[in-house]
Amino acid sequence: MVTPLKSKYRVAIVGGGVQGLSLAYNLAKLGEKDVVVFEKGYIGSGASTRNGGLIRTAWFSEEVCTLMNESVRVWEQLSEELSFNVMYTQRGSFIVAGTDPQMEFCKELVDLHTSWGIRTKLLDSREAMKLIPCFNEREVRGGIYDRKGGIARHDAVVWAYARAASHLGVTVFPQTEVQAIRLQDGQVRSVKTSQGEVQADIVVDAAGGHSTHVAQMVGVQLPTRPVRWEAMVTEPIKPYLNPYVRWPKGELYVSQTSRGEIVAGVDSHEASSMDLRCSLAFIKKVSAALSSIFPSLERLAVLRQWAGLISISDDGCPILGPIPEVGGFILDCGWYIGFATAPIAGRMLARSVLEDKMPKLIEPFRYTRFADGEQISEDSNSERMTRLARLNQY
Amino acid sequence: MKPKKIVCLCEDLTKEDLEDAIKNGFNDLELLKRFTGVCTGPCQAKFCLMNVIQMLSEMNHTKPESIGVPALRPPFRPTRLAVLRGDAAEE
Repeated sequence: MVTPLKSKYRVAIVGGGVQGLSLAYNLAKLGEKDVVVFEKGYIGSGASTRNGGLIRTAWFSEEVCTLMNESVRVWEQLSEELSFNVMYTQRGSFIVAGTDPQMEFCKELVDLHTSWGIRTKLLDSREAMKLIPCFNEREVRGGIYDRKGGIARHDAVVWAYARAASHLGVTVFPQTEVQAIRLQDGQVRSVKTSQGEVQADIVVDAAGGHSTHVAQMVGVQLPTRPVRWEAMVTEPIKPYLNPYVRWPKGELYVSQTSRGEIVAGVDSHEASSMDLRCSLAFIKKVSAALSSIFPSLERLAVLRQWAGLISISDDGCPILGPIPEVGGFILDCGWYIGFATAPIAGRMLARSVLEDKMPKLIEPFRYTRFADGEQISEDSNSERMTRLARLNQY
Repeated sequence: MKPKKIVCLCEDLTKEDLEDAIKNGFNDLELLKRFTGVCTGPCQAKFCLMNVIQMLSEMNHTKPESIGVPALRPPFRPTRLAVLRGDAAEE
């Protein structure tokens, strides 16, 4: 069943990943059904299906924590809302503290979370070991438990949004690459794709790792860069690890999927890169980290590793909404927490597109913050993340 | 009861499971793989792939060579963490 390309749409979304599809669905749900989504590969083929499927509320700045927390509320109802099982399970998440300075920092963070209305809890080593008995006890002094954390199956989420959006009248074109965006009098006018050219009043950049490139098509240089992030998966085993675990010392994040595989990754320190090849350095580092914090896994076999692209902005936070330079061009990019927040971001951005006003929840992520000098990094997001990492040295 | 025709031993998928998925629109190898888990178990497609290609080609009425193969990723065969971290020999 092939729907022909119309000559004009009200909204054209570049990128059929979880963000673009969530936005398309929410636009249609609010009544704007004249929406088209262009995806270069198959739907979800970028970071949407290469991420670890992790959702948590315990982050490092009030703006991001609040967004995450509101997103969790939508996640809790998402399978029902979309009539598709996205396999969301609220298993909790745990950030490990291995040293006294790290414990102190975690305590500070929990106090901050509490003041922001995020309900996290500081656990001591005994409580942590009770929560996750397979830990290497020597590495665990305690940590932050976030009972609202969880995981979902990323492929299912992408399909659920695509299907729900299609049912409401949105057209999704997979295998369709956007090649150019044409402007007229400082306003977006049309989108040239590999399947033909269409006019559009509004064009949304939701292209994930390629969003910097898409913005260049309208002559805008975003303060973002694509970064390669790698992950791996092991053979499936019996239920072993319930919460999602973040271990800053090993730069590790890890969870067990609903079908039993252990999925893990380590932080990437690469400069800007579009390279999707797997690296030996990564698999060595993640294997060492995983078998240090969970010694009983050292005989577990790795099945495969892969790489994906995320987009990192100068202050480490997403960039959402309109830009003053080009009328009708909307940003939905700079995501490295794009999976966890897609349900709320799509809902909020859809409102901002239709009402021409940014909802309060996503207002801090506006593009103009970089020009106004109101970046979120001021003693918050990136700074705290770096501090937590640096405390490993003690 | 009809005997089961198992296509994927790793993920315990029958011919019927895969046919249902293909009929439901997961008729591209990459989509079928993600929806059912075929080709993603411990064999990493080494046992099941040819049968899956055959099924997709028959049901989509296309030539087997047009189906393609999924991205094959390292390691070549399942490898233990202790080996990958670099301090144990492969068994």
